Amino acid sequence: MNDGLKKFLLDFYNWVTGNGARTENEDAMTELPPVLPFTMEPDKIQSRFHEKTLQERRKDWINLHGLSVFSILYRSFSIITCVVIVGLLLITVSELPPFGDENNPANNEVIDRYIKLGGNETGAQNIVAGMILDYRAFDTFGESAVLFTGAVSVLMILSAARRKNDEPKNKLHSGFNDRNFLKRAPPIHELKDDDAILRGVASLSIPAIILMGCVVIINGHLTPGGGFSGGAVLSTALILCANAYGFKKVHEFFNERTYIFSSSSALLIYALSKGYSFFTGANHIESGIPIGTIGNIFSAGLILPLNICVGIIVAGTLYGVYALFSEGEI
Amino acid sequence: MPDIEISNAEYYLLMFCAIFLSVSIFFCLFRSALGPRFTDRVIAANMIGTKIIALISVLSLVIGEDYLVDICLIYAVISFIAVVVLARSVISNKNYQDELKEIDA
Amino acid sequence: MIAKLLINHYEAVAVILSGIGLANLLLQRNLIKVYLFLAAKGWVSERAAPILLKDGSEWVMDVDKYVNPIPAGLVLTGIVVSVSVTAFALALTLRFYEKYGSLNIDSALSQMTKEQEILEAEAALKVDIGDNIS
Repeated sequence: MNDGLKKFLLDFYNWVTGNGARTENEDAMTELPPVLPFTMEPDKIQSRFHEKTLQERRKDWINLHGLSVFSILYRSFSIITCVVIVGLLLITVSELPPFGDENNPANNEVIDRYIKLGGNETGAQNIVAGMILDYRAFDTFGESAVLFTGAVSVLMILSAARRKNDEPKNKLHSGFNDRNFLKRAPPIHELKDDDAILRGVASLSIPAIILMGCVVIINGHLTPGGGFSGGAVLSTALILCANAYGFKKVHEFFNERTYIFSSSSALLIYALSKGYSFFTGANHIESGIPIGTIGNIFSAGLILPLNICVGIIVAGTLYGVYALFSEGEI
Repeated sequence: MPDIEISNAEYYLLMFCAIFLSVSIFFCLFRSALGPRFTDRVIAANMIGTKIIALISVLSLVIGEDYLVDICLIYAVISFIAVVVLARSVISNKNYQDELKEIDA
Repeated sequence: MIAKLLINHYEAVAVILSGIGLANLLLQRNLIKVYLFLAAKGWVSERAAPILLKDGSEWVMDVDKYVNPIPAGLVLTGIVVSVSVTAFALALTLRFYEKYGSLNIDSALSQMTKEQEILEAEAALKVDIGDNIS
């Protein structure tokens, strides 16, 4: 390609897109009127009311009164909306059947079945635990998955390594970095003073709390409790250890890899072990899982392992969220 | 488990205890909302937890079921850890602000 | 109608609390105060009406003297989901605070519009410069 062709193509492209030199004759270009810095303004301000156009009057009114009128309108409309919604809901509530009546549609034959045959079919003394882990085990699986997903999403948002790379791209706001309130405070667990009282109490109470958490989880099918509350108690023990002995100590045995490994394996065990009911229920086969006598610990089929899985997930999630908010890493 | 039968006088006494405790919980709620310093709020939260433990014990006597006492233990652990974490976070923030003032001054 | 409301007073109180939460959501300028009421609203809305008699034991299964166990399961699910949502929302609030410097929605909104204008100006400028260079 020779240069003439290139130049021709460039000019053609510029002509098509409208860029480039409009004319080669500079005399033909009209001069723009000079924009004086402050001499134009007083004329506009001093123009009388009857000399302004309608557009200018509208703009002036918006600049003067717009914000206050908008805020008043917004507040009143929000209050009116809330009152209307609450009123409609109250009318609905008044149409509900009386509280605790025996003929409620909420007390239907499902409850009869659960209460009458629940003990013999599930083997659980605690009807609620038998219901959420045997009749409705899929719901509990979903809840555990929701907990795990929440913790992982918080991990993605708040991990400290990602945050160091994220700097503001606009130079207009680089001044904010100098202010004190944007600097992260030092993590709680690197305080300089060792609290003797807290360490003494923690050394006595952490084993007791772990033991109590395990008792609550294992007796989930006998007494109220189960996986969720037992997991919360276990996370309490971890948080107390992190507060009393420093974050590094907990990081030795409970770090990000441990949490993800334990939670994923717990969810997998739950899914694989409870998946038999999809086959046996559809084909009307009796599953071979022993139910045992009601009232023993080793009874109720699969409820005990499932409780343990749920407890592991809950404990890891609650401690993980706490550590992410205060440290930036698990 | 058969119900532990309580007499009428015991029943009224326990109900009075329960109502009294709930009213005092309400006052603690006031203090935790109004208290100008953070120590007021922390102590009010701990007190609410303690009173709820007492309330659940009274309730287990009224109803006659014995498993509610396990829930009391869980409540005690949770309120203890809440006070510890709250106090540590506020103290660390205060130390940090003092350090910043020393740096600025 | 008010007599029926007083019979179902649990649900009436639940509805009023959720209404207060909704008003708070619309009128508040501080982001944290919104979450407290949202968490309470999630728990309160899940409540159903059980029979207030007794709860789960074993061999006395023939008599229907037991509390309805199904609302317990629903409330458990509600609590768990609201815990996860609260954690996620608070993490987003933390990032919001670090980016915009305050929790006030109005000031953050003005900052956002300014950033938008700057980005559009830069984008327009890049288009002009790019074509002239080629």
